[in-house]
Amino acid sequence: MIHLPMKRLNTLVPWIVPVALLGSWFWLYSINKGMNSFVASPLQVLATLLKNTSAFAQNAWLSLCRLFGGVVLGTILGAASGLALARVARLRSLFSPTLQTLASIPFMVLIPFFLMAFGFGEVFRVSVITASTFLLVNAQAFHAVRQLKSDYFELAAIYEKSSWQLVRQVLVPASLPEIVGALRFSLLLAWLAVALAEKAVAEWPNGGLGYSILRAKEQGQYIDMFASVIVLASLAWAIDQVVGWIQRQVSRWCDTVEADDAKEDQR
Amino acid sequence: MTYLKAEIKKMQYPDTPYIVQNPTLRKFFRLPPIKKNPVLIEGLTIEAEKEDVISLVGPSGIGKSTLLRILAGLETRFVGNVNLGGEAITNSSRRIQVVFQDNCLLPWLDVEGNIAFAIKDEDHTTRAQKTTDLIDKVGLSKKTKDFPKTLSGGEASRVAFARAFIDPPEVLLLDEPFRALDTITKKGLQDLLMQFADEPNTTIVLVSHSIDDAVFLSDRVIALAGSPLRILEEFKVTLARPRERKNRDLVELALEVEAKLRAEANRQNKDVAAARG
Repeated sequence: MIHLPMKRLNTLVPWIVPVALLGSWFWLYSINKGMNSFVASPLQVLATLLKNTSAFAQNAWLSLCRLFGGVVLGTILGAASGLALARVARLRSLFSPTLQTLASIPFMVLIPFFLMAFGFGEVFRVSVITASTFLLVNAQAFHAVRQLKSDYFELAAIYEKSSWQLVRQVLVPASLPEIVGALRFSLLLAWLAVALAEKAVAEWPNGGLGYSILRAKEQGQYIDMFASVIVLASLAWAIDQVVGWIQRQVSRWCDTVEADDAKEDQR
Repeated sequence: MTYLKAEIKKMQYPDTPYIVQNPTLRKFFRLPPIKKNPVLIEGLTIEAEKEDVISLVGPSGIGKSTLLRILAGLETRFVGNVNLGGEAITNSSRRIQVVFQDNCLLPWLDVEGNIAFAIKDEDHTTRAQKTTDLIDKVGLSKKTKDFPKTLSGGEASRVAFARAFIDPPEVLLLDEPFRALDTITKKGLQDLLMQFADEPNTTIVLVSHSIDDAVFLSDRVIALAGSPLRILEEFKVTLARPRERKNRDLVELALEVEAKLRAEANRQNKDVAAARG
């Protein structure tokens, strides 16, 4: 028997499921080959990816820029407004009911309004992604601050902290883990928002990854569709890894199982 | 004129407004009877001179912590006034600092950050210097970068003490600071407190469950009774410092305070029994 060190075996564990999924894709292809028009083998997809690398890369880059712009903007606006709403009762009674209503409806029904407001263009696409991120981050930042112990605010009052110092030294650091958590979760929605926004504008060849998936599907080019999906999934995974790392960094002080696990991993 | 004087004529939280006020209607809809909020404090005056160490002792739940919050300017829903050096205290400030019951360390700041939180705007080097000095003084130099979640109870208390003394206040209020500490840690912290109290001449008001600690540390021990909160008796501790913990006078005085509190507790129990019939 081959003797592998335990540590190396552990790093292999996360790959078991993806490899199994890839295997089942091969298997599904082999049993459906020739029967349907939508079958595509992983090898065909890989070949397409290698052949049209620059086109995929360009689309991916476009979508990535939109995603980044929308998510960053949405996070900043969402966090700032969430903190403000949590602290100012008057703002809360003015905006909270509307925000809660907007957050509870599927945001795609808002797309026509965004089209009316911003027209068919880049501003529209980014604004849809911004909105989807904004609603989530806003709610999380709000709750993070509302759930802080009142002692912290009393402590800040005793030490005569100004409003700005309160924001910088208490509100932001205390809610950062939840804000980054919401950002991470909102990325799932943001990719959907990218696809929907790109579909609504329907521009070729600068449509982006989301549009190319939907376009390929409608035209029956399933190999292209799968290729775009693979690119999108890889990007989503990579971004999640980065945001997950940031989340661990800002959550080191938290008294949670996750923070303790992260510390174990560092050793 | 006394240095610190709190005069509380009356404290009672405002009643919760009820939509249905009419007793007949309330009965008809089977609503519970309207409860008036109880009077928490009535006619209570606490005075302290500069450099005084005073202790408030009494059973739990009678409003000792509320009294402390009033002294700190954190609670203003009462009739009366708090005066410090001739100035009325209407809101909290760094003149009167508090060591909270659970220490109230900010969990996202490490030991260093928690202590530095109390420093008023100063340049970076001075801040760092002051913080390091105080961390050494409370013996936490190996833990400067640790987060509160990893600290033991005693270590957390020491951080809270250091935070309160980095910019020494005029008055320091401590709410059960020695609760749940082992004897050795407790003694260490008490020595530290006395050392701090001596140097910048801070007036100290201490809430304590332990009568022995109260007597050992204070110039005056104020025994309190509840509902509404009032002073049962004030005990002067005349023994000069440094004191010995096992000193006979102190032990006797502690017993005297305890007897007083016990008598009051018995009387209240009897009252409750009599009211029940």
